[in-house]
Amino acid sequence: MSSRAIAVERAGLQSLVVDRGRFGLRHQGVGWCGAMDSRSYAIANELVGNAKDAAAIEVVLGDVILRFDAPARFALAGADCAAELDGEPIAAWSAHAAQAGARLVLRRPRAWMRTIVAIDGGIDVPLVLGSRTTDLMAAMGGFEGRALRAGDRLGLGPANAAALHAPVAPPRLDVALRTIAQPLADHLFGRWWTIGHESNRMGYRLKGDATPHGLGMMPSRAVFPGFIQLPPSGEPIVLMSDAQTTGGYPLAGVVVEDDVWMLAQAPIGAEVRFVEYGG
Amino acid sequence: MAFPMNVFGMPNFRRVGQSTIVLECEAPSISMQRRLWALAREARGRPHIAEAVVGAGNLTLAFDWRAVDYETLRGELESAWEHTNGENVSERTIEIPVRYGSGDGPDLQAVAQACGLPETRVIALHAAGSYVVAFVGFLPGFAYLDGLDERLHLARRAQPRTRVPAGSVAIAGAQSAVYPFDSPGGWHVIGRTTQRMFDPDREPAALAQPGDRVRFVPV
Repeated sequence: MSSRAIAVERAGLQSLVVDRGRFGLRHQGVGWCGAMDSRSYAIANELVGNAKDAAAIEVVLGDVILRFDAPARFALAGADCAAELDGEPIAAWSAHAAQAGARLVLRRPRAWMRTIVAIDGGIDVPLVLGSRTTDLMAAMGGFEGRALRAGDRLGLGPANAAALHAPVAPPRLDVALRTIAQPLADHLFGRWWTIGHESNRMGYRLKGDATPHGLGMMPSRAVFPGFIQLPPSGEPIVLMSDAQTTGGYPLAGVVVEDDVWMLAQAPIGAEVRFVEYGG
Repeated sequence: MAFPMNVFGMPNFRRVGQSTIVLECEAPSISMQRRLWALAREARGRPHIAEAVVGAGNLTLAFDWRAVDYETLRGELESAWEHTNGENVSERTIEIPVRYGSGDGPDLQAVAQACGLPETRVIALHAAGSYVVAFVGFLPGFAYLDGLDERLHLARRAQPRTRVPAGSVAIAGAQSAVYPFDSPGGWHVIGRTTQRMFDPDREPAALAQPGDRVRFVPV
């Protein structure tokens, strides 16, 4: 066990240890389960000088308190949770240094959904099938295969000596998601969709002016995050990080890889649309 | 859909999104499925291939589209397909002990009714089958098993369950399967096993691999 650690005093709605994902095992039914906002995950690790695949914490809608047992440096990216370190307001999209015993408080954000907290050295949880990310369905990886709870204590990897990166400007979130057309694309483009309540890490269920189709199920085949499935109701499901590995619904489109993170940051009830990407 | 016939039984190749290539057999068969398993296994060793996932009569490869050109990859796969035969896949047999009916198989009675058979006959037919793992998908270790007796073929439940317990032995369409984890599901649950279908500490983690034979043993 490493000696540096952080304690979870308040866990929030669903805080998970994540990394880029668990790759190469979809043929055994194992999903990627990487950070939902892969962009903020990469930025946060870079800000704090971590390796590209260092494990971090992904928080949903803030409301989290972490306490540092030892001096550590950390970075915040994604939803701005009006964070405070020992009572002092600190900026999002930047790296900070915490003293031993310092408390980091994240409040509920006004916009966006998810915040990445990256700590220098990364969260030190065991590698499971090549990754430290949490797979909730298989209850493996991350911290004991589950979301964090108050009272959890997370070890940290060896502190790195990298200089803290200067703060970065937040990337622009555009609700027009660039999408490569698939056979049922006519059911997708040219209208607004609302993110439904049943949306989760497996998929975003969209509601709106749907056109039902009579195609039924297709022979099962591999599906990936970013694929847009179309059940007979015509209401699209955009597959996300924890997506199942195979599916039988016909496809309406595939969101380009660089845009999937934006959907992960759009809250329930938000409106999004898809624009055809030809490149 | 009409596709030009090919003497080699060449699958159709299609790019889906930026980073996947799908090979689809127009006339799926067990020998085509075997070639797909073998090609998937070979493809996993190639550079820039992140995933190789076999489905029902198809194979999808996820590739690094920034590092490899689609048309080049397609050409390589076409020639690999011609040199692939499915003779050397697993001939392992896995036995799965099952408690059928009552609390373990809440749909057994409804299945018996829908098939016009006594429950004991449904159990006997299910347990008599010699199944082959067609592919693994949906959940970690969820094996789609071909070989269900035709008298037990049923459409999925009209109302999927929000929670099917881990170990549930189920049927739908022409297939049977075991739920490795508690999960939502629309298959008919006729029994339960204590066999662990997925264990990250095992190599490979999924108990049943494509090509394995599976038998259900009533206990």
